[in-house]
Amino acid sequence: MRSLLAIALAACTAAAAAQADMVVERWGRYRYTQHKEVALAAGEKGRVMTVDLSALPRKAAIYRARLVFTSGKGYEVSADRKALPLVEPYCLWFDAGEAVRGWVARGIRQGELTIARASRLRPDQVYLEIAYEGKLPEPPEQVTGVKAFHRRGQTFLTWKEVEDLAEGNEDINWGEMAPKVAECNPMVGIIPKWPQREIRYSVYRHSEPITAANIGEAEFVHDVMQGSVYAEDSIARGRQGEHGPVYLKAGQVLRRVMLAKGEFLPPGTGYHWLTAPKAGKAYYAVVTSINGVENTTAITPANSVGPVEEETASPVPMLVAEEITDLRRPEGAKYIERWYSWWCTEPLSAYPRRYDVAVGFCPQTMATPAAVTITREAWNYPIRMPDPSARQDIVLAHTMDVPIGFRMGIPHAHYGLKDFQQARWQSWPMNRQEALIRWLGTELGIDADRISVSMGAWGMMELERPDLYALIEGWGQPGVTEGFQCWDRARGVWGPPDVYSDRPDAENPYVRSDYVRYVLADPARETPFFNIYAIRSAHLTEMGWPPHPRFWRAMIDSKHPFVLHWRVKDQPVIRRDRSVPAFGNCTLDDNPGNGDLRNGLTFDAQINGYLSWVGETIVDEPGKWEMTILLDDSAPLDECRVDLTPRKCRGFRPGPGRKFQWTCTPLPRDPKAVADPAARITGAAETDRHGLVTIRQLPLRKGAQRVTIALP
Amino acid sequence: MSKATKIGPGLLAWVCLLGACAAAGEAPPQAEAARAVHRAGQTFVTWKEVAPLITDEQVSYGQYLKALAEAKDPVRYRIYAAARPIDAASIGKAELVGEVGPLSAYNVNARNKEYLLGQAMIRPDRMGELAENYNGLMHTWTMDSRRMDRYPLRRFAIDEQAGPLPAGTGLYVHHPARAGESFYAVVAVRGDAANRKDFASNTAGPVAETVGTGEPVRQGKGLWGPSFDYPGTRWTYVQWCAPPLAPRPNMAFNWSVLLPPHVGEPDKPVLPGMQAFQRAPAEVYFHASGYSYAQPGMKMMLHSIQIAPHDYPPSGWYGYHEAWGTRRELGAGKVHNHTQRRIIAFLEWAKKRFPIDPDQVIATGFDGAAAAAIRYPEEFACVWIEGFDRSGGVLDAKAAETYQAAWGRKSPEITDETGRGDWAWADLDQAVLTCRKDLPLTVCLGYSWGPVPGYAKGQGRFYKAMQQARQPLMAYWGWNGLRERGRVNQYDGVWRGKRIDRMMAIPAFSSSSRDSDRESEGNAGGRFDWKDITDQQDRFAVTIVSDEGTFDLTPRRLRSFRPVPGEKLAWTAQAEPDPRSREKVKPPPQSGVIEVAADGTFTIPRLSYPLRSPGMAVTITRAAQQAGAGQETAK
Repeated sequence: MRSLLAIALAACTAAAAAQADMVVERWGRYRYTQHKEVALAAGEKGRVMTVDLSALPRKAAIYRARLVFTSGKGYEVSADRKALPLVEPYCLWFDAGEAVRGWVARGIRQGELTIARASRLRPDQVYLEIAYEGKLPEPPEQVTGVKAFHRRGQTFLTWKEVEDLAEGNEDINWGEMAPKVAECNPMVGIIPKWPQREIRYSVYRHSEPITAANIGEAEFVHDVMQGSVYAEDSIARGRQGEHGPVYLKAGQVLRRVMLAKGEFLPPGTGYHWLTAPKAGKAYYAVVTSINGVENTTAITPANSVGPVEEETASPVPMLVAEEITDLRRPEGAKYIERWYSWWCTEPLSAYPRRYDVAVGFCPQTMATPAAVTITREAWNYPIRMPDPSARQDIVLAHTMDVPIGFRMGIPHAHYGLKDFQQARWQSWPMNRQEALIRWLGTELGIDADRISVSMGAWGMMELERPDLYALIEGWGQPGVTEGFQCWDRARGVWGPPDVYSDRPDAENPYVRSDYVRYVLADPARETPFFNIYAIRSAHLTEMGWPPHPRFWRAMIDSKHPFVLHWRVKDQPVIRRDRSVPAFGNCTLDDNPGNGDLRNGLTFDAQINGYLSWVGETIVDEPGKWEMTILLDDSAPLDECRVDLTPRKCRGFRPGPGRKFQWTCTPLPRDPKAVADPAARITGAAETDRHGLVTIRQLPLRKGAQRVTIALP
Repeated sequence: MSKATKIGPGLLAWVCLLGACAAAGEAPPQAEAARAVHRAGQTFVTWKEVAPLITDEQVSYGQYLKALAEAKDPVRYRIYAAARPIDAASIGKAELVGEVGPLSAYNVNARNKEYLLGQAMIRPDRMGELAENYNGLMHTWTMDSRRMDRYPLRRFAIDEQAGPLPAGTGLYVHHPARAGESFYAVVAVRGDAANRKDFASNTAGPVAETVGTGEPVRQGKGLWGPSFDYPGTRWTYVQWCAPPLAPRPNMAFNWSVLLPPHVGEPDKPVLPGMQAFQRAPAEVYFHASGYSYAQPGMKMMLHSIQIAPHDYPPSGWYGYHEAWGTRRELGAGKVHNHTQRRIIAFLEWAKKRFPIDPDQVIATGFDGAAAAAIRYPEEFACVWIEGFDRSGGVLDAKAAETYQAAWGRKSPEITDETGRGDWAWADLDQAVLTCRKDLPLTVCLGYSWGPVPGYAKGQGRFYKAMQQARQPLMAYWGWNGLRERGRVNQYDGVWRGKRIDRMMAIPAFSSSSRDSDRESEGNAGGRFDWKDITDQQDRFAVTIVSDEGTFDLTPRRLRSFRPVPGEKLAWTAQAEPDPRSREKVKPPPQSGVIEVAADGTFTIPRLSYPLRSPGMAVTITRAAQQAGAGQETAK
């Protein structure tokens, strides 16, 4: 309440003194500040930052104040024993407006900020920025060419920068750019070295046209760094994680952001996007900030824009590129690969950033509706799309989190000031993936019962969503604590496990990533069919071998459907709405070992590898389940025994303690021939306490056999 | 780990030392309920201990160590034997056959790293534990790690039906030197004071005895899993040994034997759909350094019986100094190959006990497999090395302490039975070069024993020696090593179309231009295959399958074609034409005459295999039968 009153007072004051400017200046020992009179000393509850406000006019209206840290994490800042809020969504600064207004109102010239948890605080990496009523002596050169448009809840602003980091070079490569760059991350993009002066652009938003007179009333949206147009996936590689800084090759030309299909923004263009906080008209202004001093006096049509009609909506990807490839067969067929930019923030992203989305399909061969194959198997986070082909499904790929959090998620605001204790872990990549599936359904139309995911060796959260995914494929990662690469990464990206000890399991990545626990915890819980396979040359041993055999055993013991290294050539169509068989304890299974790499066949093992079924003739009714089960001709033996449990049944859901008769009838290879009833095998089975009925050690021969489970 | 952890290997010596340090005092109460049971050359003497240190049924290795460490002046037991009943009057004439400390019925050497690994796989002690030390923490666990304290100790079973001996029982296993009747007495000793007065239930006999090496006793089920394992049941056995199978009497060695389902049942296969075998192959698995008998890491065939010895106390898979286990220094003296002998003894017993095909006994695993096969080549059909010890085994300076504990310091004064000093008995390459017998086919994966120094170099002393001696070697290493070697078909034991058995002639390939030593792929003699072998009195023939290159061919393990040294042999080689060529012209034939060397071997040098030929038939006959006059003679 006090804050609102102060803002209202400041607004009235500003209106009354129409000639007054909004002056923005900095206090601190940071390199680019106007007032160095700041002391940092040890205090009872942390470091005490004492700011000498003598330069501030007495009783000056304070429009805003920001305490900005340019390094470190985890700070807790208070003034007058009141905590300063960390400003979302970037979490790069604290709002010190109320504190500074209080000091001014009380005539305090030595303002004190207490910074707790300040072990990583460097005095030259923090400053207090104050926007106050005063006289701006020398306004810096102003930004020009501001444009804005709104799309599905997001407003995009562009402008011409006062200084082009690329000096007009359209094809600047990383070797040329790197010397100018201090750091980069996928949230803010490039952070220039700024050897001479710091150039930023402050973005303001208002419900009325912004002028020099009312800019103090406008909402300060963000300060955008020089070179923002290079906030591009291929550049903004994370500096945190297992491999440390990863930069592009020196000769690689840098891509810039595209806001229209096929059009890169020109070099020297500033750019910012934001999520509209509410529907309605909005006005924007962008002003230059040199060393923190903003040009708040020259507000003209060149640097202000509006009205922009804004709405609140879930963001959807924006088409920015399309490549069409002529296919040899069928004649006239074309493969279309579309690339989209997708700007996301919570709950889709741990921090505001742009993501790549790619969609590939062949309109001529695509089924209607088409199955969807999501590929996220790339070793790193950029997208890898398959080669053009006359496929029947739609391929969807999207950029994963940086740093790589096993495709599971990272703590909120990773590149901001929150540390592991303060940040909340969420499964952002899965949120995005699910949003993209919904979007793709409206964009191209999809068969929602045939969504599969190629996971590679990074995480397997899709296992939890049989309601969404019919099939998941790849190596997955059923545990991240038993291989040094995963364990080091997990702690680097998620923080130590102790951080999560008091949090709910759903927000604890160490619990969420333990899929042995997950499948054993509730055998009745369904999972998508899991086609597990390893790609050699990945760091599978370094990532951790021990959890895999344990996970496969857990899958068998909990009667979940999977196959390891499927040797069957013609695999069945697997649909979300169709029952699948869970095979277990097949006599043809290999011994993958006990988790020690010197034990068993390890990565060469197959489990259920020669078994298959016919998806089209399943009977799944109350009291009756039938499926044609196949032992593939490639099997090393002519027969086998296997446990068979119907899973993902829709009709056949008998509940615990029910008794059944089962039959297994070999089917002749000649479809015209009649099955020999004498070859039929029968037996009895009873549902377990989870309501699952399992035929133990069902005898199968090479070829097909019809298996029926029915009430006696 | 306290000093007490060294009890395991040298329990007897430790207990003796403890006893010697104790002050002389009153004789302790007498041992009771002595029994003596004889079986196959071994007499099992048991008794009820005086004030047993452990009475709980379940005990961990840590509790065992603690009980020993905290025992003050514990009672020891002397075992006497005589041809007549023993009492206070006759004890002086009885033979003292052995002395043991308390807790002698505990099978402490059965502890193993594999148990720790399995438990850690189920539940590590802490999150991230298995990832520590670059996934290597688990490989630092040893028999004497503190972690081993949690190992659940079993007591010996001397009779499988009866199960483990009761808690509080003492055990001594005696190998009588003579057949006949014997009486036994167990005398309790504390400090220097022996109870030589009280003779009642501490005596046993008469026992009808024979002379022999004994028979292993099944102890119960062994490790399985925890998640997956090979089909069958893994049983553990204890083999009690005395010289010449062990340096000291009453030494117990642990084994595991994995019996596949229905093994030996002529009508029931191991798995549905498999062929049933009346007699099964045997895989003798020699564990890697740091591992044990408890759970072999690899099994080639599902239907084989897997037999896994334990080289513990470590003997370099060879044996021990004759003074091992005594208070004498391991100085000038002999090192005997106890370990190899006891393995062969166990194998001979196993061939009788289990339905083993004696022609299909395979030495598998690591360094020990090669060492045993070189010493006892006639026992094995082939040798299948999964990898030589990466740290170098006996060549590893860091491991010297381990070998010194078994053999004494490396010196010319400590020799084996043939007079070799400086641990030369452990040099596999020297063993190969001095071997006068035909070795089994040795298929190796990974770098040679004693590799050539340098990055990604796989050739080394063992491979070179095998090739120099023209013994049959097929070795593969580098990234593609496993793929090139392939696996034995686990369902029928066939590898590259053949089931290698002991009676089969084997071609040895050497000096091949197709050998390579690169990071991506390396092989020594590995790029050859063969089929259609004929081994007759007057003729040897084989079809070689390879690709363009040259090589020397030495037939080995010939059973019928046995020319005498100095005899001239004629050979011909005819390659098949490239099937993809239009003309299908046969490459020019090769032929020559060779002379049988003094050791009875003969080699065709520099055979040339043409490009893309599907096979080259090589025939060797006695020269007198062949019109080979005027052809070049090579030795």
